[in-house]
Amino acid sequence: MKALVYHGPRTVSVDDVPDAKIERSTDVLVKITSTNICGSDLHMYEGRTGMAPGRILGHENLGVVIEVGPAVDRIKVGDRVCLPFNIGCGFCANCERGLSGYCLTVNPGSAGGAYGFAGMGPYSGGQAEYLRVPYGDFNCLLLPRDSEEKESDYVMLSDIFPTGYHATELAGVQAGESVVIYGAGPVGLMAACSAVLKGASQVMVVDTHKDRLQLAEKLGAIAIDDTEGGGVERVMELTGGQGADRGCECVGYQCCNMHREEVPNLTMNNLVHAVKATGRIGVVGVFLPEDPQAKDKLAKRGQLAFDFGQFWFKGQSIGTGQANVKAYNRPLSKLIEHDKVKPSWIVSHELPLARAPEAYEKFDKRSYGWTKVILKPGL
Amino acid sequence: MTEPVAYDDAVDLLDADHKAVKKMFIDYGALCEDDAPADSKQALALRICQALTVHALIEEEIFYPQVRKAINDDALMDGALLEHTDAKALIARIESMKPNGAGYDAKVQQLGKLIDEHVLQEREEIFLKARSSTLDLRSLTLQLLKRRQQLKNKAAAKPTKEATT
Repeated sequence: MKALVYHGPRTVSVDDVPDAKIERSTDVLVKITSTNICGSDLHMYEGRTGMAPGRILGHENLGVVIEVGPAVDRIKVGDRVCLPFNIGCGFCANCERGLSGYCLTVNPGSAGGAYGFAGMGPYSGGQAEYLRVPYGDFNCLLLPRDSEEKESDYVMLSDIFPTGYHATELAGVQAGESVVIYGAGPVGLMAACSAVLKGASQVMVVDTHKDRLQLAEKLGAIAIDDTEGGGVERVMELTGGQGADRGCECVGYQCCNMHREEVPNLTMNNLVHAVKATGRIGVVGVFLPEDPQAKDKLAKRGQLAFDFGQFWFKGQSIGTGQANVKAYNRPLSKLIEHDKVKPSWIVSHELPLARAPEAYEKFDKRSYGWTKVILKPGL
Repeated sequence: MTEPVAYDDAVDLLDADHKAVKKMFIDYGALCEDDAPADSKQALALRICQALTVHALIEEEIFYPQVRKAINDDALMDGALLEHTDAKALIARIESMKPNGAGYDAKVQQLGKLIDEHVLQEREEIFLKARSSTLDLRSLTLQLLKRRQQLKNKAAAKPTKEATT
């Protein structure tokens, strides 16, 4: 089959690789029809993770079931399914509690597995013609009947829509509250969308990319251009000097200052300042236990110079980590089915798999207008 | 009163060793960047070596032979043993080196890289296969725990090399 293979920093190509296949009786085999490039793919693309050359990327996957293992009951051949980027077993202590992003069995040594992701187990990614899905009955979200015409919406249930929603859950956003979101990438925009859905009174989105800020405005959010560095002051003005009730971090460890230099503690410390005393911060941007390629000495060790004194003094609290997609994807799919949200408005490009290398390059450079790419192996 | 066994299974126990050692390697890197004195770096390096030696022994004596029988993949298990051999050679080298030479940090970091690769292979292949085999990993935990404690006690009773010279 054709698949997008990682060969080393900024080197990917579409290669012929052995077909994905059923390996265990609980597996399901999916023919991929839509698979997104995610911002977190770029950490791997840039060589900033322990990703091994030769592996297939892609964890935002949707497709049609073409084969099921003998121990699969619920899922049938022909079902159209969206796959949470996390792989869970369904029966460990964390999966039982809905924390399938921290599954204790699929990736020994770490809590949590994923497709085509550094440190998340041996599972191949779905930027390919076919994908092996472990524990198919548990992991497949069977899509509503309108899934073919709304495929570009439903594929966002694999990661960014639940991840954006998770940011607002971690931050504890409730109706009437004000929310400041750092990052207007796809996840930040989905967090803004989720905050609007939850009835936030003010949703402020801070970034330096004008094309992305324009998308935030389309959602009814207040776009704050931090290129000149006045983001925190603007939030303070808009909240009467108090700071926002809630904050969301949707950037991660490779966040940059106005000169495109990486400053790993920038968004976290801005949030501490932009969120009110007793406010809560939800962090879904990726931070890693070590980052050997970082320039910053602390960052190499996975540490941040965090404004802990200010954080403590303001009595703030924090929630962190990847989204447990399965905890949200079913109810969020209903919002799409009933036309309450249309997450595909974020999509800038739908391309055949063959053009994936070019898409990676453009997305990595944050080229103007490249906000979200869906790869369509069938095109 | 005996303390209850906290590990769910043998994989959890062995991987707890991996995590503890990984933390020590990160700390070692930090000591290097902070230009820490040679003796504190050496103390940490020797702790790493000792932890790895005990870990490798209990794997080789107990875990690997039983997994080999259960998963029927000799090539995989032979590969793991080969990696142990490489690691042991490096450990012996570090234990015999003086900590002030320029090559000392490089050797420790080389060991760290080797262990990273070995651990990844173990987690993604051996542990996953062991867990989906019929092997009784829960009972195996007790054997591993007992042997690990024996070896640790033995190591604690024996003065370390640099203290005797």
